[in-house]
Amino acid sequence: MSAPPIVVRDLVKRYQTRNGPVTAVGGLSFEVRAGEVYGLLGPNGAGKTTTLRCLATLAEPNGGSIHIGGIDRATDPLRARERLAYVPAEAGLPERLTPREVVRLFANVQGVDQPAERTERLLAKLGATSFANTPCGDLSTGMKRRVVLARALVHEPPALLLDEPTDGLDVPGRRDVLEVIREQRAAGRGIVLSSHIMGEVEKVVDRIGVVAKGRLVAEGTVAEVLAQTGAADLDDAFIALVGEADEPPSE
Amino acid sequence: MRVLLYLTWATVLRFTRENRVVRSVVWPTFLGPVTVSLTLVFLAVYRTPTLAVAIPPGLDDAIVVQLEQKEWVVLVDDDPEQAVLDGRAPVATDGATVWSSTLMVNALALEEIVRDVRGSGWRMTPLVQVPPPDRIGIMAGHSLRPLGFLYMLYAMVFAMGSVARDRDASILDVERTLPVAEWVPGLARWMATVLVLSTAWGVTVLLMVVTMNCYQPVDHFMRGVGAIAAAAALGLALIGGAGLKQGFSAPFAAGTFLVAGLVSTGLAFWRLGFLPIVGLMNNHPGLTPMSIGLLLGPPAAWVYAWRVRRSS
Repeated sequence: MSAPPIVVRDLVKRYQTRNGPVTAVGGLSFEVRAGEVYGLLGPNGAGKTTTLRCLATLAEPNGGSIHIGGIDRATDPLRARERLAYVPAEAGLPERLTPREVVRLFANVQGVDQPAERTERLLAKLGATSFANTPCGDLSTGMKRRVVLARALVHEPPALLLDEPTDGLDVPGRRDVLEVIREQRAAGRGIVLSSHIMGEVEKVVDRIGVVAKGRLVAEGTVAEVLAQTGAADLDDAFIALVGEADEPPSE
Repeated sequence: MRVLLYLTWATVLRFTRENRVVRSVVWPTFLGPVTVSLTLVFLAVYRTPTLAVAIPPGLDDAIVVQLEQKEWVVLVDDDPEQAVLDGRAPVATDGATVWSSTLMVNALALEEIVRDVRGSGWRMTPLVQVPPPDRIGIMAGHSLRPLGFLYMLYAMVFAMGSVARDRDASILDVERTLPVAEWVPGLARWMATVLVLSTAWGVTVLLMVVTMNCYQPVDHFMRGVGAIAAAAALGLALIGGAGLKQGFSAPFAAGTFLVAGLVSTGLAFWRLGFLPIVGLMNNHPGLTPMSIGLLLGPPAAWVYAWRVRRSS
């Protein structure tokens, strides 16, 4: 049996500030299985992005362990990176390159077989062919999001990290992105979806983890979390859970 | 290596498609040669008319011969002084006195002839003269030095800016999740900076050779490349984990201070000209500063990666 795409155990991340160390993530544990979308929910500043950055090897944890596709990211970060794709909240697209050039670049860099064909297939699949030669700086937010997803999926990673993937999108744009997420789940990827928009999360996630002040305060399917809190919907459950996490796990 | 080359090429493409980058690179490239060429065109079109010299009838032939040798127009006039006052000739002489309403250099040249013919014990010689061709080549080299200084500053800013801007736009974050060492994206930006600016610098030197027969162009080119490579390395190492929105000013100020200080060091300590940046303004052979400058890229990328890791 293959290893789960993402396993996080007792993750701790602290930052040094002028007022002393601040714990952004304090002992977070969760696991994402293949073909599962895990919603990492929490208010602004809860530690969602920090957690994703630790998973993506962009931030060094101060404690705990992270395994990506069975690879310990602490001891073998390069192999861990081969198994993941990170989609930041900002598009992170070079304005002067075209979508075709960006996706092709990442296909080449990732050592994908037949990078040109793979690029064209992905652009077509994500509906980006019509603007594939337009500089990324001239694209709308929705178009950029499609390009970003194409770039992330070009090497078919088992783990996909999505930070606020629908941020700034209109309704059709959000629907398209959620559809792509469903397709990727069906393709067997383990997906972490960070968001604070409960309604859309509910549509795609298999399980959620609610984070507040760096700690996991609830985990399970949407139904389980609703049952745990006695709330009628995820919004109410979220408020109830975040309100319960009153003690920050700081030093 | 494959990843490094792809990322470098992508950065080169981005540089060359950025209008501000292209403008900033193009204007100094053509500034010197175009200025010189336009000056030559101007001089060709609006050249100073042949000098007319008023002389009285019966003036010593020895003077007339020398005037004609200089291809000056001899205007025989009963009153040469009045000819100058009336504007019929800018200079005049009666063999004993020189009158002039034109540039001092012409008056001195005429006085020199008169003194020579009259056997004067001393003569005036105009110092301001059109330099001989070999001297023009040396002056072209002097003109290249401030342009090289400009490219060196560009290199520092390009290296710093490409990292800081991409960090703020999350481009660098995405590149850092690629299965490559942390220093690769940094080194790619250094290589792209050196490639783009060295090419522009090479064109600048070449144009100086074509228009002004620049003296020792290969050494000028190599010293410039060394300075560009070293300044870009300095920029990369200094920017570390900073971005445009936060913390750009301090590394930028430190970098500017450092490169200016290194250039000044080169002016004060001529023997240190074998070092990149330091040797930009002197005549040390260019191979050593270029080689040292190009070797600085990888360690700078390592320092950059170390600082990024420390700040994340």
